[in-house]
Amino acid sequence: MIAHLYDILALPFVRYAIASLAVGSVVAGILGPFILMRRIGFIVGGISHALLGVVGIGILFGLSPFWMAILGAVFLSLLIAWIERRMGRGYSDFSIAVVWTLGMSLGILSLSRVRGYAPDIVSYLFGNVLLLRGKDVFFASIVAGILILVFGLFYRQMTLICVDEEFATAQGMRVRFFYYLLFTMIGLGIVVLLKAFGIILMISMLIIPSAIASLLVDRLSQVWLVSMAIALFASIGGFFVAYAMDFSVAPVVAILLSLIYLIVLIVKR
Amino acid sequence: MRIDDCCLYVKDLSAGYGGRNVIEGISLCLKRGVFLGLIGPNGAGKTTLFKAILGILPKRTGEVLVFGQPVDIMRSRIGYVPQYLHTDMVVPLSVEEMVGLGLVGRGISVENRRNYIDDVLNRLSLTHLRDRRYTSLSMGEKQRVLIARALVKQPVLLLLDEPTASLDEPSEQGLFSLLEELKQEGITIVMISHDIGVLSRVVDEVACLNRRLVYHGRPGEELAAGIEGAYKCPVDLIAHGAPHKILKEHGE
Ligand SMILES: Nc1ncnc2c1ncn2[C@@H]1O[C@H](COP(=O)(O)OP(=O)(O)OP(=O)(O)O)[C@@H](O)[C@H]1O
Ligand SMILES: [Mg+2]
Repeated sequence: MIAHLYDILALPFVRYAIASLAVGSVVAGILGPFILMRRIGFIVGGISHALLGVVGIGILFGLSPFWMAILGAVFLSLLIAWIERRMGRGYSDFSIAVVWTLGMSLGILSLSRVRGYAPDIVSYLFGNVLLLRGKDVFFASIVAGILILVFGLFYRQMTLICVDEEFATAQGMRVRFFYYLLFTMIGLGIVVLLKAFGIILMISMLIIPSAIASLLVDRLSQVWLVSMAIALFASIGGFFVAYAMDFSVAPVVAILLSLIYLIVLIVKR
Repeated sequence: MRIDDCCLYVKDLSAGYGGRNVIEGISLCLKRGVFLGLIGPNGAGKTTLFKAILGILPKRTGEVLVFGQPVDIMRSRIGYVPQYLHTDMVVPLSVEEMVGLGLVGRGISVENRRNYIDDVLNRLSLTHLRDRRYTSLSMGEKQRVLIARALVKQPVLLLLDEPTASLDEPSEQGLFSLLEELKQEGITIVMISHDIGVLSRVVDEVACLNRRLVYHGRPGEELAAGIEGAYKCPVDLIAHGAPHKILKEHGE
């Protein structure tokens, strides 16, 4: 059994998959609690679908889908943030709906003008953790590093603007700067997870571990660590279950996370 | 009077929402260590005045200085207790963490942070709640946590927006003796309240706001006349309805 495990781990694609699941767990553990605090869970679905528009337009004009996706995700996230600020707090579902439908419609229209189908799109939207290469893992690690740095420095400020924006202003914080910084990080986090996880697993990873952690502990500082640990456990565990049973990884991890959530919910409430 | 003598100096301040000025031509000077009670009917603009002073709401005219300095420079020394904080967060935030948010941007070392928080929790008898979830507290407990959050940074000026609204008798007494202590330490306090009876026992000065500052002076004999004055300048007061307490005390 152990020998068999070594054989599996010797495969480069397995190592890349595990590494990216681990990096993804860190990203999810950092961003998840903020996404939950601001109640913008659907930003994940919104941005990843709307990306179709940005990437589609990029393909139409022969631009790199890689860079279009990164810039596009940040742009869309900032657009959602801007609409929410204009509308007033509590309208995030509204701003997400606007961006989601606009982006996806633009994507469908622009792709209909591309001769032949653009196969890249599918892999961008639905991801496959087994198809990753070294440079994907490298890029994800860089983004994770940026997130660790930014939130390591500013997690108090970010928390305060999520909890009580008026107080933050009274406190002399540059609220708008931190608000847009938060959404920039969310955009980056989403795009970097997208290729590996696909939309479904990404929604699950960014929301469920912190939802579970919020049921288990009473301090915000613990929520980050506990959600990272849960994400790590479910994704690596799910990977081996999927491998052993010859399933695809993303649904297995998503199911595992949902089950843990439901069990904790039953036990704790 | 020299501007530098005022802890809080407000000159010709107006602010509002949309096309409408909610407060207009507010001028006042509060000396160091003065405790001012701010009263006025619902919708008179009391909260708006606080927000304009704090820069949460942009001022349309006028100027606000704290010890002769613009508010932007003095923010780290102004404590603010909002009237209401809407949080129904699913993500937990402990009492200690909520209080600690009052230190954001104050540039304090980790040890000192801990000391400041311990100290203020102690002063507000919240120590036993420090690890509880903020959202799981009662209204009165929450209100005390918000007061602690404002005090933790050791302000020179403290603005409290109806801090006693959910407090029981002992907590209210506790708060008043704490405010008295802070006053002795030289902190200037402005407190909004509807309870004019209680207010006039604890404050040095009273101001009555109704879009404009209708009265600003000492409580006691003059206050009665002042409120009557406020009441006799009724354009807005009658439209909004005056608070019961004031009506009762003046036999209306
Ligand atoms: N965000 C807002 N947008 C538009 N108008 C507002 C807003 N907040 C307050 N107002 C209006 O400004 C006026 C003053 O409100 P404010 O909250 O300052 O009153 P207040 O004196 O604090 O009253 P209360 O005793 O009820 O707390 C009210 O007429 C209110 O409708
Ligand atoms: Mg008010």
